[in-house]
Amino acid sequence: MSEDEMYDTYDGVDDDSAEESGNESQLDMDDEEDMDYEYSTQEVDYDDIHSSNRSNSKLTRQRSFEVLDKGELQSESKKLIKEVMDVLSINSESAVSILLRHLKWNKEKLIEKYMDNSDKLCADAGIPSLKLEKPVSTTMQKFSCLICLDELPPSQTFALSCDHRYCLPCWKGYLECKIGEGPECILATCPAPKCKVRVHEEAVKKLVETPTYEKYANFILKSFVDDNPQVKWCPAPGCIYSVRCDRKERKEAVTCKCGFQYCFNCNDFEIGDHMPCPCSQVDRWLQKASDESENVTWMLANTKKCPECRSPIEKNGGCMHMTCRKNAGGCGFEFCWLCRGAWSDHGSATGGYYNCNKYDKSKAKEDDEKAADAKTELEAYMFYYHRYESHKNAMKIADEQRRNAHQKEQQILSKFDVRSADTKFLMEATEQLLRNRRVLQYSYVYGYYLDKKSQERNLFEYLQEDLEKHTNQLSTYYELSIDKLEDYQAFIKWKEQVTNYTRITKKFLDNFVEGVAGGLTTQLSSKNN
Amino acid sequence: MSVPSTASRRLQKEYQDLLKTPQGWMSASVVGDNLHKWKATVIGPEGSPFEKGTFEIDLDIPNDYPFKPPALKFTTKIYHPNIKSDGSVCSELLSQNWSPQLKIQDVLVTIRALLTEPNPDNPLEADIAQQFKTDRNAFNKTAKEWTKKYAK
Ligand SMILES: [Zn+2]
Ligand SMILES: [Zn+2]
Ligand SMILES: [Zn+2]
Ligand SMILES: [Zn+2]
Ligand SMILES: [Zn+2]
Ligand SMILES: [Zn+2]
Repeated sequence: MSEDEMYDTYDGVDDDSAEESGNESQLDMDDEEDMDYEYSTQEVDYDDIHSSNRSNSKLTRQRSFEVLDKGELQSESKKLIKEVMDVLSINSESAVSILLRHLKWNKEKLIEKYMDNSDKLCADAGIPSLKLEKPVSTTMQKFSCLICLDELPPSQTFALSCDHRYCLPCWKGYLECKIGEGPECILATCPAPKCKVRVHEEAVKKLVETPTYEKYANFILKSFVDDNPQVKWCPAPGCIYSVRCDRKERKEAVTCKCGFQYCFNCNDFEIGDHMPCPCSQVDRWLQKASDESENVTWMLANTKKCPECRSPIEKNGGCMHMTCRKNAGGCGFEFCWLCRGAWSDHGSATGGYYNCNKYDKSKAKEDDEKAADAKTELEAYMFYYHRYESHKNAMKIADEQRRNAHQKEQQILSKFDVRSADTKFLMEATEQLLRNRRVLQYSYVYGYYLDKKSQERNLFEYLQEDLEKHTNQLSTYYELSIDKLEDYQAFIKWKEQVTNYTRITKKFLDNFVEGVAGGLTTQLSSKNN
Repeated sequence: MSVPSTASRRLQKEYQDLLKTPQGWMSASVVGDNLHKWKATVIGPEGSPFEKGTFEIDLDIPNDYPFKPPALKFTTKIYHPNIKSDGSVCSELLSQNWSPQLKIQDVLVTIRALLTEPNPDNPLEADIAQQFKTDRNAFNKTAKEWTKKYAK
């Protein structure tokens, strides 16, 4: 892992010092912690003493992505335009903006094409002359506008380099109409029939009112993001930020200012951050999930369910006599595993406990045979799919809990005499749960594609099991109802449990992530001590 | 908004120009006192199967005319690859090639040119376009019959 693949903090303050001073910057800290899977593995101790090295080393690290708001996006695009202006010695910002948009904001390509044949490039881009506007000739006395058919003083007219001159109100009406039509307006040309000369930003600024111009400028920014492979809108619904990432094959998630953490390459709200899987694996998995969805639905509907109440049944041993156990939430129905018929219809006449002669004629057999072929492979797949889904759902629940954490907080504050700083552990716990669930979810994708008999698999499953077990434990502790806490002592005890498990699962998460990143071979010994 | 008044002023001028200099091959009038609804007639061009036909066209002119093109519809039935059976017309001039400099009269000139020279590569009626390409005589025959029957 190279230095540039890691990130620094915004201010280098260690989060534990923040905790001690009761400083409220914990949320920022959590954001930052979200990002640093790699070096956080240094933090293996359960105690509060952190090396100051950690914060120092963070300061020297470069983040390889940047969250941009509208203003920053604007300056990014301006910076790019300025660079091209300098390199090509063009002094019109508007002209360079048109050229850049013409080549999808690809600076290198623009410079190359411009060097090669600037006249052709400019003509193709719709600016045959770099002098983008034609001033009114001093000899012009009268002017008759071909759009409104009115006569006007020449001073109230405007023409692009093609000298197709119209009055200012007509230009305004024309551009308002174009901008009203949407993002395509940035390709608007001169209003003359068949004229291909492009309208530039400076002209729009001059010819329409400010709010309309701002709409136009936003469309230019939109094209800056849409056409630029290094900048993408954050996929979270309603988010206004965009993210710039210079490294193409970045593996680690990026974290938007809205709090959403996701893979920059996939840029998908549903997929989010898919650590530890590579993007290609997620693609394959999702494709498989959609290919298999019918089979999976069939399997879920037809196997290992009580024929009466549909609750899941575990079959132990070879006996065909099944009972849907009431203490496991079932209905108590007794039935035959093979034919799914009531056990009361069975006995020595039907073949006893280990066989069933009703089976051959039953619909159950037909169903089983239909499933048999697909079954073996499918069952293996479903094992992973089930767990993938259940962690995905658990993550949604954890997300819900995170949003409702302040309610729990209020409950605590009203029931016990504690400071609000004493409830911070709740937020930390839900954040940790979210992280763990997300990694666990994708760990089952990773596991599905891992070589079935490899050495790596052993370690992988070992780490995964640890993480899963402790995450479930943290969930259980976290979900404890406040009503069950009888006194302050009980609260403190519970708080310690949750806090402790937050730390423990963080350690297991780090171990897991580090193990996968390290190729699942070198870590086993250090894991065991 | 100054746009609707631009539209009215320009339509007023166009209409007066047309009244001042009548054209033999077409006529146009405003429907009632609504400047945004016109009725036009175009005489079928000589040498085309539409010759001597009188074709009525309804023009619907948007509020942001001339920045947006008028919409037109043949109300006379016509057998033509670029004119749909409901009378709507397919022409680039009325979509991406529109220029606010163009006038109603320019639109009608284009329509008349389309009667002289159909554009079967960009059709609204695929069957008619196919016939136009492969069996011109049959096309001409039907077009003439329709002209005689409907475009009196
Ligand atoms: Zn004008
Ligand atoms: Zn022009
Ligand atoms: Zn966001
Ligand atoms: Zn990805
Ligand atoms: Zn049951
Ligand atoms: Zn049975």
